[in-house]
Amino acid sequence: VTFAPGALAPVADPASIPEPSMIRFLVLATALAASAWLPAPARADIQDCTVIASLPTVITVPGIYCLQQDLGTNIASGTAIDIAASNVTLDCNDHKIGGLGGGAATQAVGIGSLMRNNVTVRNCNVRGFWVGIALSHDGTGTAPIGALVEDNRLVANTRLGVFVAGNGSLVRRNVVGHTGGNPDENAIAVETHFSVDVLDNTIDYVFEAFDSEFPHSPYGIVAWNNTGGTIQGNRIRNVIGTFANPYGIMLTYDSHRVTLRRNVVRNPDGAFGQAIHCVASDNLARDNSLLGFYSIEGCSDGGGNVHN
Amino acid sequence: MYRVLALGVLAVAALPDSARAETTGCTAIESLPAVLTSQGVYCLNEDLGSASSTGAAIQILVNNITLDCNGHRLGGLAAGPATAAIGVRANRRANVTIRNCNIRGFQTGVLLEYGAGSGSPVALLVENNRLDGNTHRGIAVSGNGSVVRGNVVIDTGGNPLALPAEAIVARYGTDVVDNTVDGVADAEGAGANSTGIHAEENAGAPVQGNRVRGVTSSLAAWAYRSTGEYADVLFRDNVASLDPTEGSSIGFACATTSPTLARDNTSLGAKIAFNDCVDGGGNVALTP
Repeated sequence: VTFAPGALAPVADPASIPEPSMIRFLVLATALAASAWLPAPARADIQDCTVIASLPTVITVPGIYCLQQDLGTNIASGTAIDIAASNVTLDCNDHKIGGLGGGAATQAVGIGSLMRNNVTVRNCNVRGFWVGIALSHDGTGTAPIGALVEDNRLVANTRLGVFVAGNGSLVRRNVVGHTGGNPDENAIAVETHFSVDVLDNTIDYVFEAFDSEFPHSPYGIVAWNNTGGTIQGNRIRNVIGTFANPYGIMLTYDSHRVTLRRNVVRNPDGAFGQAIHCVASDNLARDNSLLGFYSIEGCSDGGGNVHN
Repeated sequence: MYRVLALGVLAVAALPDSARAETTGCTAIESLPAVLTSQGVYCLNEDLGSASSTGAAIQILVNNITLDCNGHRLGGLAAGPATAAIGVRANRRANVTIRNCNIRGFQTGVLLEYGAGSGSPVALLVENNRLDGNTHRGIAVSGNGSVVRGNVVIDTGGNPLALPAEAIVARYGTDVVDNTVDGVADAEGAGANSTGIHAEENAGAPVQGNRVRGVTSSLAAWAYRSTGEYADVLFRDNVASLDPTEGSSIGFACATTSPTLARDNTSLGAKIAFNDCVDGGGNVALTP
């Protein structure tokens, strides 16, 4: 899988960023652990499907694939489940795809596809990869269409939780926790390229690696080249930058006419960042709730944005 | 601008080439065209395609039908852009559900017509489908008590016969809720209108929580439109995003024959954001 994330320039001004106290850091980490990623409501497993029994694997035929047990891998590069066909549904039935065995410096992707249309990934618990889920394009300006990433749980991925490229795509109802730790890159919970809707996701704890020399900002949601998409109903908290400024939602590089609505973004105490940042004023922010200081920059104000 | 990181692909074993649907206890449709003449639950166990340019790939002739494609594809691209074929069709049938289908390349993807005049709910349900590259309409549903929800409708239009391009058409009491429409366009030189969501004679039914973008036309482009003699519908919490360079574009085009209420909607980029709608408050627009 070729993975083509955007390269975000570090924007840190270390001198302007107070360091959060270690006590606060521990409290946040404890709260995160205590939440324990509560199980989803009971539902029937997908049974009648092609079972993926070991990792790594490559899917080469359209169809419906599933997990019926937790799976893990020690790969430190490549892709645990490589979707090499269009029209594929992967339903993990809440089972784990574990990549922690690849180590902290892993460059492996959990679930990946390149230029495949109509790929669905749902109910997967993807942990410990460089990138949890990457449904990508090839960097040439064209992109696949119709990706759906829903109801997944992404935890402890070091660079990115979810990466989705392609018009007509949806990223919804995922829980993305504890993203970051790669010393050389920005940590991002959800990144999209092209016109992707990002709806109703929970993002908790995105953090930079502690590198004071080359700081990289952490981000909750980053959208590139998004024309007319909607980022709505997401809950973002604990995006923590110690040396680099954290951002809740960042619209960047040629994103226009995007609606940002009803998101809840909590600024970490002491960090200097922005809850919502737009690259152009034809993007609209309305009805967002900001916990902490008011920090919406570059967007048109559609009203209803409040902070405490 | 992009940084491309090439990762080595590990040597792995390819999975077997069978892929079956999740739903059991259903009657599997194994080839096209198919005609459903008995009530019950039907499903797809594999992708199916048809090269026919007329008729319906799946024709429903009875009431009380559920079709669950389990994410499989119902393909009609082989018939070409001038196709007159329908993906799934029912005419004057009640209690029909179509879900989890990936329907591509027909003139209309899902066409469930009951029309007006039913004394009891028709209750058509079209949910969680993906419609892609249908040349005239993605989904067209008519009948009271019906719902179109959670669908993704991509790249509708391109019929060379100058048929209007419409992603979703709802008539006679059909709710349209939480759908994504991305890309609606007439064929080049066809001279047809394009509409994201069209509520026609859809009195009393809400069009709510939908996202429409990328509607273009050589004549007129509407993200949302209400028409007909009985057009007193509600547009609420919808998002319209249109290209500001479009010649004639309207975010929410409301009928003049009866009041359409618009509240809490967002219109970005349209030349006219709200046209002839009753302003219920909370509507926000950025116009070029």
